[in-house]
Amino acid sequence: MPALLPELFLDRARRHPEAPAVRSGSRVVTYRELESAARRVAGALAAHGVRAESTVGIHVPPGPDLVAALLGTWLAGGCYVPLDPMAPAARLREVLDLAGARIVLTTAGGAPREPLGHAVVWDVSRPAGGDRPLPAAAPDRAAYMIFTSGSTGRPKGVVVEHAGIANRVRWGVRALGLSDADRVLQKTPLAFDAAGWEIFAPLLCGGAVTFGRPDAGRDAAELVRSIREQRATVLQVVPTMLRLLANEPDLASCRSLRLICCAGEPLHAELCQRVLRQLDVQILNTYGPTECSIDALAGWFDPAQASGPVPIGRPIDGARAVLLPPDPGVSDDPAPRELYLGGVGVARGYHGEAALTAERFLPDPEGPPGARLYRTGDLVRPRPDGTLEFVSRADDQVKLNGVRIEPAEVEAALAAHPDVTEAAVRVVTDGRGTRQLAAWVVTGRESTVDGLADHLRRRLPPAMVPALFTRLDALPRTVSGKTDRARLPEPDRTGPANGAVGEGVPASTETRIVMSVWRRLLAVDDIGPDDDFYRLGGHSLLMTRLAADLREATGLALDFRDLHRATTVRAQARLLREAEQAQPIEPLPPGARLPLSPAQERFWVLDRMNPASPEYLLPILTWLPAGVPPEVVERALALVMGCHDVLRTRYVMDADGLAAIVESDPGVPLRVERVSPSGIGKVVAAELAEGFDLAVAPLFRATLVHDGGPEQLLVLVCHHIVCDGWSARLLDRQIAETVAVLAAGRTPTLHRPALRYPDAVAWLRARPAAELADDLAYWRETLDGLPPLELPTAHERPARRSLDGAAIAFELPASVVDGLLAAGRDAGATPYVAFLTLWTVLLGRAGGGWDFGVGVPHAGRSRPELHELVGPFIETVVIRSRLAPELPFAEALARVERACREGFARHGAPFEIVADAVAGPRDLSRTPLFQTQFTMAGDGLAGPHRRERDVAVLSEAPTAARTDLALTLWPYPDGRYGGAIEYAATVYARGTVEALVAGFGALAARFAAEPTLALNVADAPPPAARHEQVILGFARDLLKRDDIAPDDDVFACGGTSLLAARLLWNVQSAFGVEVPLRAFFDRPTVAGLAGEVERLVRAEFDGQ
Amino acid sequence: MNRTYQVVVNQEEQYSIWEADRRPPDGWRADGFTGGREECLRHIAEVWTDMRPLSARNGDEAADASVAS
Repeated sequence: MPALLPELFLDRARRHPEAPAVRSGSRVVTYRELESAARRVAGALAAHGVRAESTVGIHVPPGPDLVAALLGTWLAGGCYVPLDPMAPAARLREVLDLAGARIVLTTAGGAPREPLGHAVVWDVSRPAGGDRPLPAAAPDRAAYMIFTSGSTGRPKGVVVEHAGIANRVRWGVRALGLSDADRVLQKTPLAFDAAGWEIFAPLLCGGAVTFGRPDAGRDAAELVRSIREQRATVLQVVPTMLRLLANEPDLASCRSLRLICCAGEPLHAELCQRVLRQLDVQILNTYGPTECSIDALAGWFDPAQASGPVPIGRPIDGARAVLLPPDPGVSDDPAPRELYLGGVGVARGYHGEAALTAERFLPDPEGPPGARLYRTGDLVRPRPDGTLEFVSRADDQVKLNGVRIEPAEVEAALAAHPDVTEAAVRVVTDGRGTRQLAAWVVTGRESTVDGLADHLRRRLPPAMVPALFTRLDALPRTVSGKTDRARLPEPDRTGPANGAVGEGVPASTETRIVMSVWRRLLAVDDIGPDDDFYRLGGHSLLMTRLAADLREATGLALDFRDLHRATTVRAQARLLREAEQAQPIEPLPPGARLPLSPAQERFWVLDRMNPASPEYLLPILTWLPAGVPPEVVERALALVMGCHDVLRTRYVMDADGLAAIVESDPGVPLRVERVSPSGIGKVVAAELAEGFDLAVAPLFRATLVHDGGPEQLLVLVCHHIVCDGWSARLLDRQIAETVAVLAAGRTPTLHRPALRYPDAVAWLRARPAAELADDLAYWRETLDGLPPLELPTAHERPARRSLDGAAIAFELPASVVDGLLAAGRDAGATPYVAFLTLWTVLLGRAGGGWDFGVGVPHAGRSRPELHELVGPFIETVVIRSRLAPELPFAEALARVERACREGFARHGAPFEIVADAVAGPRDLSRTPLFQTQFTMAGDGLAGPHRRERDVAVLSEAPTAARTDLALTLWPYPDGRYGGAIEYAATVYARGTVEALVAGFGALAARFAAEPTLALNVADAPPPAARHEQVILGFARDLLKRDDIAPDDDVFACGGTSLLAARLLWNVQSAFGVEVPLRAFFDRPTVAGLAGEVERLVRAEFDGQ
Repeated sequence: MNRTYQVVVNQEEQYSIWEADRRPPDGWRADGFTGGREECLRHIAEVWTDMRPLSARNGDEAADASVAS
């Protein structure tokens, strides 16, 4: 039986030529086709002079062509050299040069973007001439050369021979029990040696190489999708990726998986246990350096192990482990031994590096004559059962996200910068446990530090570029004069001087988009234009997600390789602008008929059913100094109307349907009213009580209200057909600024957007039908069989939904909010997701069932150019999270996050069209698809920040019930949140909504304390200790003292009766119980109050 | 730490180092050079110029049996 991989493949191809050999997306390639493609590549290589031992660069994206390129290289006798597509061209040229490769295989779509020196670039799909006799593989022929980080300052090429890789792959087939029924997912990039067995093991057992999605190796969500789509049975991951995978809400849906191989980093039992709770799999921990043909040791994870490091097992077939004492001084602990590896897998050595090879590959006194041992530099400890446990490195080498890095190589690359005198590099851990590479440099000039990341990015693969750079006057030294890495100071995390976007110039739309996407992704609030993604805790496994989020926010697809190189906010904003210019939104030609958006059409139809209805009105409240005369306000309004055509537009139907007609000067509809100080609310209420005739422009009116105070209020009431929350924020700002400039006697310069609303509508409507169909298919599947939400306390509904509404306002204290948001952060959830989850859970617990849709607004401004336009872009997206009562809260957060991420990515399908496509028979008694809404004001999606006094002014206005139950939340600057639940008065009684309001705060406190609690078991009253902690937070907030202890007398700590009353108010809103002031005076301590709350809560609970 | 090493070479003409006072393992012979670790490695860098194992050096395409059918 032949024993080497090329022959084993040819043997399989002879035996079952028509069996599938490669699966990639929906493409299937048979063994016969693969063999013929490989022979074609081999022929072309031979024609280019490739002989036994010649090196061949591989720059082929994953897929059938890649397999053909590798096999073809081998059939020609050559040795393949993977080229990392993420690495800069200079690095690739260096690698090719060191490897002596004169030819690089590529494909039409996957060619390197910059020239690679003198190497010939050959497209593997090109036809090649003539069959030539090809050399047979031999056991000691070089099979591949993988470059790893080298401590001498340049990468070193590890040469692995055919016997070694064949041994490893054959062991894998046997040990994993692989058969042609298995699907090993190919997702590891080829630049990692471990990719080799994912490709060749299936070909040895008659199965098919199974490629995941292009980003499956970099993005956990894509990996889950790949496993599902390809029904993968075997998966190999580094523990960093396994950790991300364990956080994916639908990991449990990967039921085809039977086995997970972990490699590349220490593995911990806690992580394995988290995976085993979601998947029925075996976990194999494998260990081995590239110098030993991928793996030398392996061990099955024992499901009985609850914690601690997972052993790296025992030697695989044909491998031997030898433990020797480490060099003196390497470790104080006598137990660890340095690991040396022997056997057939030991590599040939480092290409062209004789001294380096002789130093690490040593005579093996116990092996066959002439055999060598590889000195790994890893310290291990033998366990009583004979397996080995990894302890640490004996040298400075580090692993980051599975990538092996020699700090000395990064230091050498830094020292190549003319201004750098000395450099040191090591791994640091930030406050949130993220491991980052950090550099300390001694430079001639201070400004040099800022340019160092760019300097390195042009030379090193992305994983080797430090996230942090710190300037020092001198590096700490050991007594022997070497750099003492252990004594390096804390790295400088402040980064370059930030903030100045430009003198007095507001940040560009693109800059703001990038900042807001980073804020969400990195959970960092304070981001400036010169901040660096990596410095703020981003890492390479987040880059794909960043590209996806930017695409979601801008509609522009960025290549993540570009993002890797443009790592500051400013640089990424520039990429966005370039992408806009490459695919501009064209304005409609002059005189064209102006279309309405689907949302505008719906408003028009709704208005036709109920003419001049006040349901779809939007108030904009702008506070102006009382001294500004009405003429100035009128002039400002006229200027703003001049900028935004939509404010001068009316809507009419003719023989061709609906059209928008822009008037040149419909006049400014400004009225002035003087009222008593308490009268403003009434005026606003009256303004909001009356609708518009949509055939007459303008579709807004303005009232300037004086109440004798230092400010006057400009009330703009707009019809939704011309405005949304985002537009409201724009108008509020523009009007206030224009008034201020005019009042100061200067001439305002208003920026007129390059596009008009109808241009955007035409562009949106011209979206390719296939994209829309794709979105609709998603919504049909996601919303199939969606049950309506109805709480048990609902009244019998009128046959036709009524607009009668009411609202209850409430407030969440900062301490409750902080706790909830912290629990959210730990689970990777934004404040938005945390509150939406809480609302969904609250409704589920109130008896609404656990499966329903929540309508959430999405800005719908899918391109940066649309950000400056006034007009209704807002979309409603339905979030169906499919929670279940037994889920822990942390898991619920992850599900809601996933539902939001997917749903927002599909917002391009207008709600009207989704509702038509999905909703069953028309039910006029409720809103379609969802009966509850969730809005977070001031988050950039839905509308302006709410100011406390605006809330008061609007409180007298009638509430139109948009749906049965609508929660709106908005943050205040001091950390509190304001909230209001709007409800359909014909469906729910006030008491039901009051219970929801009380429950919201209580539930927030409960889950903040114990995020692992199941959604339904949180019914039990929380422990008193927990009450105490929350109440302590209230007391410290109110008294502005952090040193208050639970048993301190609150009055002795500066408390007053009023403060005591406020404390009890906070307690009531958090726990839903009312503690009498007198009871508090009896025991004025936090502990006493907690005990009282405990008693009341328990009584209430027992009474139910 | 100032041990003396010897340069050793196996039947595949692969070089390595071995403590000078110990007999090289089976299949390895002394190349004759002894000295400190770094000196030995420098010597190896000079003499080990073709790093292919001996058996992989002989015969390029001419000597190879064909696997092409």
